[in-house]
Amino acid sequence: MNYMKHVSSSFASSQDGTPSVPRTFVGSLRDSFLLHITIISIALIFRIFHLISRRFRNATDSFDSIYQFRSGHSVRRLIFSNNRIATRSGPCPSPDFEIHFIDLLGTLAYIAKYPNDPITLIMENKIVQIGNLYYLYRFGYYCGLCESIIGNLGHRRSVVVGITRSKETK
Amino acid sequence: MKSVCETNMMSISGKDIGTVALEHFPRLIRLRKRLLDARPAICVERARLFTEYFLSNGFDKAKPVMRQANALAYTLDNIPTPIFEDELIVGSTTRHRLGVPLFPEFTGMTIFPELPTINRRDHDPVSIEDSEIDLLANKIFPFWRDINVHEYVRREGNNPFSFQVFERLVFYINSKSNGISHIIPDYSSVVHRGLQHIIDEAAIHESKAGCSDAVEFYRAVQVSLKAVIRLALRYSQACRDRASEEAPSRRDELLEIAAFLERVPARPAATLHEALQAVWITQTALHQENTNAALSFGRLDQYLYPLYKNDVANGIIDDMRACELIGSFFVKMGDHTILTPRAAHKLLGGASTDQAITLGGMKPDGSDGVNELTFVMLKAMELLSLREPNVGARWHISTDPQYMSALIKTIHRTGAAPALYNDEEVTAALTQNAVSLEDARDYGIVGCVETISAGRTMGMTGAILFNLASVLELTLNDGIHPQSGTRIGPKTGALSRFSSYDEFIEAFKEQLGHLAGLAVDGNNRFAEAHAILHPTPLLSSLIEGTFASGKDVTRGGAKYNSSGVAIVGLADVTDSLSALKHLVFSPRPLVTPDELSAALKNNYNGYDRARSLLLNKAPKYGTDDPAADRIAASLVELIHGVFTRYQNPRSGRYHVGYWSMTMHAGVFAYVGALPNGRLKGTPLASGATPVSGVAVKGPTASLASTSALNSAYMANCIANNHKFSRSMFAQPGKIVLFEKLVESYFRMGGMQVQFNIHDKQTLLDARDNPDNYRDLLVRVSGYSAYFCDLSRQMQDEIIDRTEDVI
Repeated sequence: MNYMKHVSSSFASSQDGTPSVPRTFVGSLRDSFLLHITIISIALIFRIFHLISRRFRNATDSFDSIYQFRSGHSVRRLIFSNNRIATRSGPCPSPDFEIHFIDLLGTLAYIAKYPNDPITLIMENKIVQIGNLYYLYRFGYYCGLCESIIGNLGHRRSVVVGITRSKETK
Repeated sequence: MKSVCETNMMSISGKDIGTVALEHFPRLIRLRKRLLDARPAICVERARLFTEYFLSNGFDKAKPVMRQANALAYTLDNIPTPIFEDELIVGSTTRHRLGVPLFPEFTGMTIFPELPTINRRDHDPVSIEDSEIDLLANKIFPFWRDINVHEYVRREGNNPFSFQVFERLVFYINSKSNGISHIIPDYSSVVHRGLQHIIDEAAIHESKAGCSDAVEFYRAVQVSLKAVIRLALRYSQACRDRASEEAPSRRDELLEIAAFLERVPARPAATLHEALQAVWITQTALHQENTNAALSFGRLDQYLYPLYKNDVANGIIDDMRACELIGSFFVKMGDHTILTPRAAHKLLGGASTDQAITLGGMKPDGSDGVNELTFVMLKAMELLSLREPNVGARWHISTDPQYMSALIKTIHRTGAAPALYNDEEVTAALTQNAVSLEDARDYGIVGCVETISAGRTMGMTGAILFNLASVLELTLNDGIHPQSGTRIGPKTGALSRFSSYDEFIEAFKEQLGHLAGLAVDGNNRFAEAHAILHPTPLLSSLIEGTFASGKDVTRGGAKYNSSGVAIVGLADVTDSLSALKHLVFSPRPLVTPDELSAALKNNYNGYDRARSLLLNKAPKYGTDDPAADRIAASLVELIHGVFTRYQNPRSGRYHVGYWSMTMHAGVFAYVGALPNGRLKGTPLASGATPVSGVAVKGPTASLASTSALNSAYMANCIANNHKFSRSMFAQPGKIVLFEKLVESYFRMGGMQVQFNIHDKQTLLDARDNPDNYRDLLVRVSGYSAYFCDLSRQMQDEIIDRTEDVI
């Protein structure tokens, strides 16, 4: 269509303007380090919950997919395969879903507060995504499950503390 | 029993309309309280049943209309049929008193990430059981992974650029990703002909149909309508079952309702009560087929009037009973709400389901349609002061002065509703967009403020929500979106390269044409996806034109086939262009393009002088300044011209309007600083309303500016928001002045206006102590909402709106 003649066919690869956070060598290095650490940490957390929570296992088992995360030129994958969760460095040709971090630090700050709200990350231009959003939502769901399980543990502990206190009061 | 027919229109059963209070209706008090106290709960039944059907029977791609009809029938045959206490109108959208239905084939999946924590999120917590979460996560959502309309558009179009831009949300939103909505079914036919009559008609068409697609359509219609009749019979049985457990008075009520449901909606309604029951049970069925957004009732006071009149004449009801029935019906409308992920709280926080009803106005022959039932409905709405229904009242030059007076008093009492519409302007806008005069006069309000010919239009009035401020931002930045550094628009040059205002406007036109083209491309792709994935035979059976054409509404079967565009940011862009024209590109510029460019990049930090000049020295829209009004008028003409270049896949036109829901304070406010002095991230002006704080010359000047816009270019209507302090009306004569102000606005050519009448202190207190103001009703930029449900940004935007004084 003629009104699209000026633009590239891919949103994620069309950043020919000035990004809001200019990348320096140090910035790129930092983001690369953070990307790998973040995805490795997420994989680790998911594996722990896979071990301790039947609900998390039910949700992840039989889910086979590859997520690819990019920050600048750095790429790392998170792989769900054969009831296992793994992570690898480098790209693969056909991931199920790809996330480009535009503002990795901002993303990390936000997901520390709201781990299962990926839509805000899109709205606030912190990430650009490629692929079927189902995968993004499912990924968010896993983060939400972890948060919920932790929340329930906290809730249980507070119940125990509450009972202990009430006994002490008596 | 005495009726208003025998007395006058300002009374209800002999009581002065002003003295009838909610205390006269104990049942309504109880129903209202239970609704307001109810915490919303997700209901997975509809999603479960649709998924179950397709898992068992396959997703037949060869016969999509029949496939959807069969799935709907399966759902209606198995969906729970709860009966709640005190109800006079039964039928429930979900199994909960206040439920949230899920539509995984549309945007229902956006809630997927939040399901485990949605019970305790800080905004709009929603109940859901763990077993339901697991069902959604492990069975329902996986089934819809590849066959939801959003993914279909992405995949089939090879991730088109228009789709990618839509997914950024700040430029435009293609609302069809959320399903078919914003439409008025022909409820007059449900009430006066009955579904069996429509089934018989479909059967006759089927026997004469020449092509297999048409045969499939007529059969699908019959399957769908028969399922609605069976649903009514299941509710009838549920009433009988429940009656056996109830005290005698309630038992009699339930048995009476059970008897109604054996007749309606299959056959024509004989009484007002039957008619309301027929309409509501059909609405609940339609909500299993299509998303629960802005499925509106049209001219309720017109098509129910013959039954009301008959009931009164036969002594079956009086106006107090009519008010109770109507009130019960209005409460039922609030039995469901929309599901929004956390991110959408900024977008749609506090949004109702926008089921609009229309009161008064001209009949198709041009005579006044206001009747006694109009007053009863107005009273019921006032007494309940709920966000549903969204009531729109029509005005025309020969409107009964008593009716106008009642409207003004109701607005004053509720502080927010109804919104007012000028028949002359709306009718002119529709007729100039290919709607016949008779059909145009028979318009109804749909969704927020949109106007379509009721029962015969597939309008999708909210199909495109379009951020005009983004167009300006792209023009200022050579087509690049500054926040992401991404090229969205064509290269039209940086601000410092323009040597004149005319050059800038040419660039603006190019960016506008480009972004509009993308938005239309996105919408058309979604429309095509619906025709393939989600035809809607039940809704189609209630839209005029589909039987003649033998087509579903998603395939162009309706008599009128428009698509709606809602432009957001008109006033900000007008004021910005005015500032560019008069201060930047003037012969003696007060701010240079380079200085402005730097100021915008820095969000005016360190550029106080420039900001002060831009804020105070340029002509502003809303001050009755011809220089600014001309810019606004030319923008409206330009935008109309751009969108009317396109057609939707149903060969319909794009109708442009100016309303914003909460978008102006939500996601569209993510645009950067603008040349009118607006700072990055602060709310844009709502609808067609001037920028807050700008209309310093008072409401008359502000309304004059808005009325100068040509209604013919605004067929999708406008939201013109105004705010008065409640305490101002304590002064004698102010209500009369208020009425005169509205009439003058309409006589000047104003199209629509809506009000908030609250003291600033009340709003501030409500913001800080929400528990004390649970039912405080406000007008956003379209629909009515409970103030405390709104996002903080939206609350502040309403608080900061210009407070008019008369």
